[in-house]
Amino acid sequence: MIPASFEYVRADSVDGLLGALTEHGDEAKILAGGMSLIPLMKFRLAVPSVLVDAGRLDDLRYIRDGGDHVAIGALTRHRDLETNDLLGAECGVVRAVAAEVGDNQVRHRGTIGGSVAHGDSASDLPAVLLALDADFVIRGASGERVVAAADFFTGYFETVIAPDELLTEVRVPKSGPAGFSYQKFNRRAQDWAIVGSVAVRVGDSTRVGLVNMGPTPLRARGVEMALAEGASATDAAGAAAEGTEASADINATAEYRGHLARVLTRRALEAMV
Amino acid sequence: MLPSCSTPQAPSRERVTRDREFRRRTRFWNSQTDVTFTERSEQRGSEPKKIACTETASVRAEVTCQDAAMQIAMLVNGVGQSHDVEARTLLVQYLRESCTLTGTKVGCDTSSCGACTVLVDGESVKSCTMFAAQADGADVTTVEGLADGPNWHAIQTAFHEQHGLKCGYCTAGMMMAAVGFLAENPNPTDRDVRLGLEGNLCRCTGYQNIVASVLAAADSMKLGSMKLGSMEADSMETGQ
Ligand SMILES: Cc1cc2nc3c(=O)[nH]c(=O)nc-3n(C[C@H](O)[C@H](O)[C@H](O)COP(=O)(O)OP(=O)(O)OC[C@H]3O[C@@H](n4cnc5c(N)ncnc54)[C@H](O)[C@@H]3O)c2cc1C
Ligand code: FES
Ligand code: FES
Repeated sequence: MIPASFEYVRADSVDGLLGALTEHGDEAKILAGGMSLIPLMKFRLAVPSVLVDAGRLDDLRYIRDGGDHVAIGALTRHRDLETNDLLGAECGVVRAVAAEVGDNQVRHRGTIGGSVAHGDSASDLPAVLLALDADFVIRGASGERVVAAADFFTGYFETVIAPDELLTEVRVPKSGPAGFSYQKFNRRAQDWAIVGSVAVRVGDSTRVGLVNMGPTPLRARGVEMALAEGASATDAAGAAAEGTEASADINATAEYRGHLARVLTRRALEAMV
Repeated sequence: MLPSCSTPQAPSRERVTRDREFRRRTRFWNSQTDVTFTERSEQRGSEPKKIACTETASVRAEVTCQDAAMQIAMLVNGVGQSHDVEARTLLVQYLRESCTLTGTKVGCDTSSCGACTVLVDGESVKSCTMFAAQADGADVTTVEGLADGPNWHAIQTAFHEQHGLKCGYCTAGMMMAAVGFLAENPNPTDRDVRLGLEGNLCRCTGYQNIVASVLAAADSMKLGSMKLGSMEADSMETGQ
C-alpha cells in the first residue's frame, strides 16, 4: 500500500522544523520513528500534505540526569531506553516497559516522543509516564511550555500539543531501579496491550497506571487510595476498573476489559518488588 | 546460491491487501479511533492539497517538492545506489524496484510479519514501514549482502543445515532479523531468540527449526570469532 503524495521536508534543526510547521499549518505532520504514522498513511487514514521529518534531530536524542528527574529527548528511541543504565538505575520501570513495546524492529525506530504525542491509550509508555507524574516539554514558535502528564492527554489520539508545536523532552521523576511491575495482556506477540496495568512505588506511595481502559491512559485512583488506607493487593485491585471508560472492540468487550484491569492490577501489585 | 528463494522479477506494483476483516484486526481500525482519522481525512478531501514548492532558506530545512522526484543515495550491500524517487516511496519498494534487489519480500505490508526486514546502519527495521528518503545516506544490508562471494554467512548455513525454512517466503526477513539480533545478543538462550524474533512471522515451520538455526548460528559465529581471536594471538606471538 502506498501513501498519498506528500511534500517531504527534512528538518536539520529544531528551529527549522518549527519554521516548517508554522509555514504549513495543520497540513503538516511531524515524522519521528514513523511506526504509527506510516501505517496510518499507508491506510490513508492520515493524509498529510507535508511531512516534516524530525528523524535526524540528534540533539533531541539523549537520556540525561536532571537532578530530581531523568530528562529524555523526544527523539530517543525505544531501543535506547531499554538499554540505558542511567534510566535503569533511576527509573527502572521506564526502561523495563520500553522493552515491551512492539518488537525489535519497531523499537529500533519508534521514539518516546512519538509514543506520547500519538496519544494512543493502548500504548505502553504513556500510562507509565502518567503514573510517575512525568512532565512534557513542548516547544512552539512562541516559546516553550511544560505540561504535567495529568493535563497532557485530552482524548482519543488527542493531546495538548498544537499542530505547530514539537514535543522536545520528557522529564521523568526518579523512582529508583526496582519496586514496579508491568502486566501487559495481549494475544499476539509484538501487539498492543488489550489491557495493561503498571504498579510502581514512589517514596511511600504506590501508583497504578492503566493502558487501554479509556480514551486516554488512566490512573487507577481508587486502587491507590485503597492501598494508602492499608488494603491488601487483592482488595485494592478490586477497584481497578472504577471510573474507567473501556471500549469494546474485536479483542474484548468493555466488561472483559474491566475484569482484565482487576486481575492485571492484582498481579502487578503482587509482583511489585 | 542463497538458501532463500527469490522471485525472478519484481512485481511492478506493491501488493494491496484490502481485506476488511484484516483491516479491522489492525490497531488502526479499532473502536472509535478510526472515526477520528477518517473524519480528519474526509475534511481534507481524499487528495491532499498541493502546496507550492518553495525553498525557504530562513527555516534551515531541506525542502523537496511533492510529486517531483527527489534524489536519494545510500550504500546497499556495500554498493553505492542513487535514484530519483517520489517522497512516498517505501524503502522496500526502493530496494526491490529501483535497486532490483528482490530478495527482500513483502508479506503483510502492514508492519506485522517482518518479511521485509533489512538492516539500516546495522539495526533491523521493517522496510515496508520506512520511507526510502529516511534511509538517504544510510548503510543498508539486504539478504543479498549476507554471503561473502561463494561463502555463505553463518546464518545461511545454519538455516540450511537446521531446516529453518519450508516455503522460504519469511526466510530473508527472518535471517536479517536474526543477524541484527545476534549482533545485539551474541549469547542468546532459546527464549531470547523467540523474543528477539517476535516481529517475524512464519506460516510454515512452527518456528522450532528457526530457533534452532539461530542458536546454531550464534554458536558458529562465536566459534568463528574465537578462531579469529586465537589466530590473532598466534600471529602476535610469532610476530607475523
Ligand atoms: C508492529 C507494531 C507494533 C507496535 N506495538 C506497540 C506496542 O505494543 N506498544 C506501544 O506502545 N506501541 C506500539 N507500537 C507503536 C510504537 O510504539 C511507536 O513507536 C509509537 O507509537 C510512535 O512513535 P514514532 O516515533 O514511531 O512516531 P511516529 O509514527 O513518527 O509519529 C506518531 C505521531 O506522533 C507525532 N509526533 C511524533 N513525534 C513528535 C514530537 N516530538 N512532537 C510532536 N508530535 C510528534 C507524529 O506527527 C504522529 O502524529 C507498535 C508499532 C508497530 C508498527
Ligand atoms: S511486509 Fe513489512 S512487516 Fe510484513
Ligand atoms: S518458511 Fe514459509 S513462511 Fe516461513
